[in-house]
Amino acid sequence: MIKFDHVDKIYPNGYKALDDVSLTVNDGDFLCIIGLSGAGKSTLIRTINKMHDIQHGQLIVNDVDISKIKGKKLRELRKNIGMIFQSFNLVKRSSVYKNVLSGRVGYHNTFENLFNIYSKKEKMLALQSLDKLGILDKAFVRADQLSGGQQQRVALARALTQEPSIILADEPVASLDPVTTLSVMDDFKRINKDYHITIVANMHHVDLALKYATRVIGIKQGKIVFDGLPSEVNDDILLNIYGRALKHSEKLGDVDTNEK
Amino acid sequence: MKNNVLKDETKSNKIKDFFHKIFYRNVVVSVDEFNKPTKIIEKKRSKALLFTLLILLVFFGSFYFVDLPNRVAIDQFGIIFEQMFKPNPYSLKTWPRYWDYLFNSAVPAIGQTIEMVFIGTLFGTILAIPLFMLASKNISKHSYIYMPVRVIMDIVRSIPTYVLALMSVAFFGIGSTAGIMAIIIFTMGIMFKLMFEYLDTLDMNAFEACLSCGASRFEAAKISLFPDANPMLISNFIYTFEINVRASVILAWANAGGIGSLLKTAMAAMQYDKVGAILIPLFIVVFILQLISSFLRRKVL
Repeated sequence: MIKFDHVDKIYPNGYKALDDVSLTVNDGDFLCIIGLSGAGKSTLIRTINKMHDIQHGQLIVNDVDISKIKGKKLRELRKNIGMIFQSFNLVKRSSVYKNVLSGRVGYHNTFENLFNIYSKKEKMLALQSLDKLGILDKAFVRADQLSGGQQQRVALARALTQEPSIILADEPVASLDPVTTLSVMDDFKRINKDYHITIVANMHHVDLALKYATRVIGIKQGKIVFDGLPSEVNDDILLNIYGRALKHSEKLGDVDTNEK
Repeated sequence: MKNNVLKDETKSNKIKDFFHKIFYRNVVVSVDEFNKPTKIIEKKRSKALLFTLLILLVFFGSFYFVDLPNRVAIDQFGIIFEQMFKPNPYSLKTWPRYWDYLFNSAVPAIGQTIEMVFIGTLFGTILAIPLFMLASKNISKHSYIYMPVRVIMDIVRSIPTYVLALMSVAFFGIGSTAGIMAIIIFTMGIMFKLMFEYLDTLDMNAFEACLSCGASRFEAAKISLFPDANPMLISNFIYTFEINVRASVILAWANAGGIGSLLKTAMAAMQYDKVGAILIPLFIVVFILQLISSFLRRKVL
């Protein structure tokens, strides 16, 4: 469970990225955050695993108040939270297998990490994660030789190998083509359902957000302006979030609009 | 009174305009039917001419400080050059002794020098690793960590090799231990500079992902930056080794061992045939090392 309680995030230059955010994410939610660029979507996601610090309020993740923790406790928090990035963020010169195994880094001490000491069970776990995402045959290929969609699946496998309770996704499909986007989103949905992992994702594709999420958050200038079910999102709400009405073609989902 | 103020303003505007015209020029975007510009944008003037003039000034100005030679003794050079590649009547005397000196004195000494340089370069590189990690902005994040390391290493690097050799002779006494120490410190300086600047240019996306998995900054650097930095480290190691082999000749003049000691003795006694017998294998070895070095560096990068 993630609980924001009157959280403010102010950047060193004085910019207020999160303004009095209160929000509870329940276990097993598939939460999508929508909003304009610069509205605070990424900031909101990155405060959850403390890649960004918050200035005011209280943020509780898995029953731990994370506003003050650091050092070992912080790493303990992060090892239970997987994170997916827009640009995949793999170690390009390492093999897919090594990349996925690096998800276990939080479970080991510095010495073990320095000499790549992992247990047999962990090595199997890494390969099983790849298998779950259907890219086991790429296990020993260098990461930079994969396509964008495959790289994002490797990143997902790395997150799964962490055995997390939460996966944060910072624009996971923004650099993928429409077809790959759908299959990667399907992977997210499957992980959410099958392993009961909470997913918090921010998206530019309004249609996709509405299709996959179990809950949608609209954010505008650091404030939450909508919180509800995808079915409740209508043109008035989008008008409020984006400042003007979205035309059909601007919802960016492209492919899935026909399926609805 | 009012008038006066107005005057001053126009004056200062004129000065501003004058300087503005020096640094900027107008570029016409479009013209009307009378070829009169209708839209103009400003472009900063190129400073190429200014810099060319400046460089020429420095170039000719520096002649003032240089003592030009009053005679050029090309014939003298020819005489010494001739003496180097044949046995002299007052030193090695015969061809068999010349070859004997080359293969049994010069070549083993070169071998020892290369061993010495290898040990020095290896230890220097290993010692540089924690230093360049600390000095990298990407890894150590806080300026109160990386700035002191950089400043100290900048000071170390500013010491000439010859002075380093003199200093280590003062600490460790005459001999190759002092030479190895000088090479270690020299190598640390070069490797440090090359590597921390390389680390600062690396893509930090994977590093961020490692942090999000619960890694410490050191662990994240090991997992995400080393695969990128390793080929560069090996390449720089080979390059520094190559530099050190050439630079090691100077060590002898500080009594810090190496092939230079044979060279120094021979030159002091004006036995130029011995000098030649040392320089021939030295030249060949350095040349081959350079070939191997550029081949290996191409391979790893």
